[in-house]
Amino acid sequence: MDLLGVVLGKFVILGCKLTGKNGTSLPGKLALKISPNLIKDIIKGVKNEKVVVTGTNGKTTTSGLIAEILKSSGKTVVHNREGANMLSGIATILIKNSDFFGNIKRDTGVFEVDEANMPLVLNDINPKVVVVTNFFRDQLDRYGELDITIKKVKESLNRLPKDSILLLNADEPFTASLGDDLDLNVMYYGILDKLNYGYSLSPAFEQKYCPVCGGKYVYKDVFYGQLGDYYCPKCGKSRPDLDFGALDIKLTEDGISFKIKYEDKIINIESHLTGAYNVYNVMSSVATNILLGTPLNHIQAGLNNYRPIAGRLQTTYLKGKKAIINLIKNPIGFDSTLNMLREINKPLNLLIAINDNYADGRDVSWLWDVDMENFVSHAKINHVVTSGLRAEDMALRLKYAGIDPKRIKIINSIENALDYIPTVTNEELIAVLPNYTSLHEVNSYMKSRGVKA
Amino acid sequence: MKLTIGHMYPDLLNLYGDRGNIITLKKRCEWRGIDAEIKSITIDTNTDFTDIDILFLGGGSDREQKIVSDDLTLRRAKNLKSAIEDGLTLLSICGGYQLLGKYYLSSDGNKLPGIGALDIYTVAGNKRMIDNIIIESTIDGKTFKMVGFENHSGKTFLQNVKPLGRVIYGNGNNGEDGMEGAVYKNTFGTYLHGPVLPKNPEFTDMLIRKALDRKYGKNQLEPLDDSFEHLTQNAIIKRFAKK
Repeated sequence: MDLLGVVLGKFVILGCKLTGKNGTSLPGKLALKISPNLIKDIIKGVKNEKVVVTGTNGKTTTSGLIAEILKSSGKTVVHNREGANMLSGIATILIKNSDFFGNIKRDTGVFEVDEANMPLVLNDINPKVVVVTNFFRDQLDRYGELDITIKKVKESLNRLPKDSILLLNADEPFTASLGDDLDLNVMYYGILDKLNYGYSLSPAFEQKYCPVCGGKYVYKDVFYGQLGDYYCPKCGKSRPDLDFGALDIKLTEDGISFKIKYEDKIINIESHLTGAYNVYNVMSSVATNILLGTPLNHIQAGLNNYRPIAGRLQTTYLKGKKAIINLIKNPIGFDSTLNMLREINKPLNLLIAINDNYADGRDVSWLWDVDMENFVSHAKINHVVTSGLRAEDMALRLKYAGIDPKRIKIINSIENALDYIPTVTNEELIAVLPNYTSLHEVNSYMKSRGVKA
Repeated sequence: MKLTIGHMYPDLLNLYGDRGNIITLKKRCEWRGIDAEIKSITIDTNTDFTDIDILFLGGGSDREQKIVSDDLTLRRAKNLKSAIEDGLTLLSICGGYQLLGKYYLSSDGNKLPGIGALDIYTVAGNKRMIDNIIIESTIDGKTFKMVGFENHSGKTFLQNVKPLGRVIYGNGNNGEDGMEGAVYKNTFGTYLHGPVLPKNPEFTDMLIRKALDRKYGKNQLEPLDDSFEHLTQNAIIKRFAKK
C-alpha cells in the first residue's frame, strides 16, 4: 500500500482538530492527491461485506440506521456518519478509522455516497449491497439534469460483480427503472398499504412519463412526490413486484410502526422516527440487514438505538424555548418538512437560511418548486427570518406565497439571524430550516453558545 | 379587467422553478385588481391561442423536451406562429426559447426543427453554461438590469431579430457575442431561470402592460412596493457585476 497519503491524511486530520475545524473532507482530498488508490487499499482491510447507500433524499438516515443495526449486532463499523459523501469524505473517514499503516480494524463498512460520485467510488468500495432511495431534483447546476445523474449511477452499477445485491425503491419510478436490464441480483422495496397521508402530487413532481414508451403514467396511489403505485397504460410497465413490502403503517407523534412482508414472513417494526417518508428509510435499512444475515432481535435493537445526527429533525432549545432544526436541501425535502410543521399545529416562528455555495448547488430556483402556497394558507406563521447568502430570494418566495412582507425580516448573517429570533411563548414553536452549508453555520453557532442538541 | 395566462406543458417543462413565473404574473395582476386566470396547455389540450393574453413556454430535460418538440412543431406551429405575428405576449425560456427558433443542431449533426417563429438557431455546445447571469435590457425606451441563473449547453445565434439585452455577467445566448435572449414583436426568449420574473419586476410588468395594451388598449399600471424584488436583484448585481 502507498502509505504516504494515509500519513498525510492523519496529519491534516490532526491539524483540523487543533484549529477547531470540522475536517470531514479536506484530509481525504489531500491524501488522494498523493495516493489515488487509497480508498481501494484501505477498504481491503474491512473483513465483511460492505454497503453503499445513494439517492437524493434519505441517504444519511438510511445509512445511519444500517450502521446502527450492524453495531447492535456486535459488529464494528466504519461509516461516514456526518454525511461527507463525496470521494474526499469517504477517503477521510477511512483514514480516520485506520492506523498510520492504513490498517483498518473494522468488521464492516456502510457508506452513503453522493449520486454523482458513484462512478468514482463504487468499484473501489465493492459493496455487497447497494441501496438506492429515490431520485429527486437536487443541486441541479452541479450535475446538469436528473437524467444524466441516473445514467451515471447505472453505468457504475453495471461494473459491479454479478452476485452484488441492488436494493431499489420500487415506488419511485426513476429508481425502479435502474433495475431494468441490469445483470445483478435486483430486489425491490415499497409500500403495500393503500396510503394517503395528506401528501399530494407535489409541484416538483418529476416523472409522469414512462421511460420505455413515453406514455403517461397512471397512479393507483400516491405516497409523496412521485412515489407511489404506478403503471403505464400504453406499454404495461408498472411498479415492480415487491420483495420487501410495508403494510399496516401507523403514524403517531412518537414514531412509526409497520409490518414488513418478506418471502413468507411478516416482521413487526417500530421506530421513533416520525413522518411517513421514514417508512422507506427504516424499511430499506431492515431489508439490507436481513440480506446481510443480521438476526431480527438485533435489527429492532438497532432501530431503537438510532439517534438522528445534528440538523436532521433535531430538537433543541433556543433562548430556553423548544426549537426544531431540520436540513432542507431540495423541494421534496422542504415540502415534507413544511407538512410536518403544519401537523404540529402550533404558531410558528421560522428561520430559513439559504446559501448558494457549491455544496448547496448555486442555483436556488428550486425554492419556487416548493409548495409554499399550500403551507402558508394552512399553517399559523407568526414571523419569518430569512438568512444566508440568498436570504432575499427566500423572502421574495414567501412574499409571493402570501406572507405579509411586514412579517418577514431579512438578515444575511446566520449568526445574527439566530440571535434575532424573538422570544416566544410556550405555545409557539421555533423552527430553524437551513440548507446544507447554512446548517454548518447553525451548528457552529449552537456549539459556540453551548447549546446542547 | 382580466388576463388569461397560458402555461404551456406545465407537466413536462417544469425545470428550475419556472412555475415561479406563473405565480408572479398572477400575483402582480391580482395585487392591482386585475383578474388572472391560469390555463394549462399540454399534449392533449386544444387551443388556437386566441383566448390567451400571456403565454409562457419553459424548458425541460432532454427526454421531455422531445415530447414537447413533437407536439409543438407537428400540431401547433401554424396557430402559434400566427398568434405571435398578431402580437401575442409570449415569454419563452431556455428549451422553450430554442423551440421557437428555426432549428437545433445536435452534436451528432441532426437538425431538429423548431417552429421558426424567431429568426434564431441553436447549435449544441460541448460545455454547459451554468452560472448566475446579469444583463441590461432596453425595451420601449426603458433601460433596466435583469438577473437570473442560466444552465444550458445549446448556443443560440440571432439572425434578423433583436437581442433582449447585453450580458454584464455570465454567458447569455452563446457565450461569444455578449448578447442574451431575443425579442420579436411581443415575443421574448431568454436563457434566464432563477426564476426570472419574481426578481425582475420591470420586465414582468412590461409583459403585463403589453398584454393589457393588446386586449384593452390600456398601458398604465399601478405601481407596487417592489422593495423585496429590488433587494433580491441588487444582491446578485452587487456580488457578481464588475465595476
